[in-house]
Amino acid sequence: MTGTPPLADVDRVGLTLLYKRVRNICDEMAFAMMRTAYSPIFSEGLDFSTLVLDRRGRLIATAGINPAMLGASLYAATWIIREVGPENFAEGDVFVHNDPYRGGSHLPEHMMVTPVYRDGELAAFVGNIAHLAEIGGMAPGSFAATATDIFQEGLRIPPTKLFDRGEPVRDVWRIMLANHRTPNNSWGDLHAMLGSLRVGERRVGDLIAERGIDGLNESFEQILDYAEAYMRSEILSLPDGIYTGEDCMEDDGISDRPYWIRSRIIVEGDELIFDYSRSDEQAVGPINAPYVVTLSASLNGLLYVLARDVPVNAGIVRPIKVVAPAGTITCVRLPGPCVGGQTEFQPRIMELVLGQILSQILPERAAAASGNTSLNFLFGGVDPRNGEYYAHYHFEGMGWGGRATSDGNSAQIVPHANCRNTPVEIFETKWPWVHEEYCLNDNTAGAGRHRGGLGVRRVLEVAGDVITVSALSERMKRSPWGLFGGREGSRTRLEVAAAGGEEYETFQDAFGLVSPSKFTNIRLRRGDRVRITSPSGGGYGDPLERDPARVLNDVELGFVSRGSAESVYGVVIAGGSATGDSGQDGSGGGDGAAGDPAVDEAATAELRRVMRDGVA
Amino acid sequence: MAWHELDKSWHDTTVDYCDVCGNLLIARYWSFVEPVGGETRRCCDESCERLFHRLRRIEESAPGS
Repeated sequence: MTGTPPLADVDRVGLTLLYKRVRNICDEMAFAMMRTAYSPIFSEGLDFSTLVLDRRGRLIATAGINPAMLGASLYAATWIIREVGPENFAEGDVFVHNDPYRGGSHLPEHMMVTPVYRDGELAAFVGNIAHLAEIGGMAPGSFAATATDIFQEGLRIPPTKLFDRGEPVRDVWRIMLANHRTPNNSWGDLHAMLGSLRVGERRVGDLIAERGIDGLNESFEQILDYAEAYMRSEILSLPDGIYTGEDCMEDDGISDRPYWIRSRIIVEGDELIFDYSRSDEQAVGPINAPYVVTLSASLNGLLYVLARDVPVNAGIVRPIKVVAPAGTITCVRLPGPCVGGQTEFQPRIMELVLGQILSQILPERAAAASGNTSLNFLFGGVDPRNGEYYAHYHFEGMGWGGRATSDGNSAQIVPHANCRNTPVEIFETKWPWVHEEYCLNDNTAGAGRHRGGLGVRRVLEVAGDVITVSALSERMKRSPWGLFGGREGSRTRLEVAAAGGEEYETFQDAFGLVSPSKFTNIRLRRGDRVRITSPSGGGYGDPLERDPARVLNDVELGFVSRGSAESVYGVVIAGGSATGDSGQDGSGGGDGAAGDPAVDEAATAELRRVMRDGVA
Repeated sequence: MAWHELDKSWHDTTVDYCDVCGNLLIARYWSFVEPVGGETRRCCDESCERLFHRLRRIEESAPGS
């Protein structure tokens, strides 16, 4: 463990080695799940987390895969253990749970927990959380953007025994599989989760054999104390004060109105409060967050800029409080829908915290807004090749925001989730889609001293008779914001072209929808095409301060047009082709030949002076 | 100020929230009486009671911040 040494009387080297070993157990559990899953959302998307918990259910370590699940990782297992009672567990038991009204994030994410025993004594727990691609509900892919209560979002499972002393509880399995549209995938993915638990159980068992139950739990306690002390020392380094910011969800899929999130961060000594009590009331549609999602977003926003080496476990929460009153969009009340809270609301809050608010005191660590949507695109139907039902939950890469030291990443999943998108080869092998185009969306990044990352453009053609699609996304009405003079990024677009036609129109216009970004169960026919354009990130700092050589590089790569180089960045480029595509077709540039594009230093200096001073 | 069990039937599906932070109450809750108004509040634990008083103090010292 690096960073501030807050605990003087512990063996930090030994503790570090133990923590790293527990982290490695989580990683090994993750690999087991990735390699054995049936669904691409596991094997490609990596939309899961793996956990080691102490015998009280407190999180000790998690694989650094999906930060969005942090809130649930902290609370969902505790909920299972308290509701079931530790005395009611037995060796070989596995509990499953996906209820947002019991500490879960949203229904698709299922938590599995199993106890680890030694000589009949409860020693620890291992668990995981994973996003099942299909759990029933009103739309294939179980992301119903027009749901108005949680019962429309899929099968809700309170803490339930899935294996009893190692034996499957068949009645429970039968209920679950009967309610999922793709039960074979669920079967495989749930067993991948089980396999991951078994790996964790064995490895934690090895640790217990070496250190004993009490010894291991004593060390776990020290790891928690270390994380707490580390967080406190980091918070103490911030100036006391109240810092505020706000952003909104554009609409909830049911009506056209925005829902505002109002946050204030109160720093007092070594403690910190996130207060969302002035936020709007909960939405009718599924953009609400359960408490753990708001908690997760707040912690992740903080962890991006503060205490970046801290062991992520239950210790980090001790000096932090999150106030999210029930009945607001930040803490949904039963039976409110909330499937989009995890994917759309969480990144909105996270970037509100790490960008707008913490930039007031830590400008060098803040970032401009990313595209800030998971751009969930769901589809399902009967595959004409084999007559079987299929469904998939796809999330799209987009541009991240520029930051003090670098440009935003391009074509990357929204920062809170850390997932990967679905490769073209998987798309075309598993489902009746054909890709017509998949590329970076040039000339859209928010300009800045460090520009935003680029979004992508993907065009898919329906290759089956009928396919049912749904979407739940954001940033179609409000652009990703820039910071410190950086420009806004570009917006999301979801468009459709009828078979044989060349004209694209928005789904909203084509089908008369309330929301351009949230819709459910649109039936497309063979030959119809969908164009998904993801947003680009906002810029950081004044574009006129960008190194001209970097602007030239962007022009040569085709990321920025020559026109924008001049009109936005004030950089005049001489030589090369008119479009700035030198080198890409082998016809020019890249070899130092005369006529290569180059920055005209004098003209650039003069243009920037004029742009700054406004005097020609 | 005391701990209470959330005494519920196994088939009760209602949900209880902390009156201070909003988190879900699991199995039991801590209750306290507001000094002003005398309303009884249910919350996660003693730390949420302290949070309640802290937020009130902040609000009084910097109204509307």
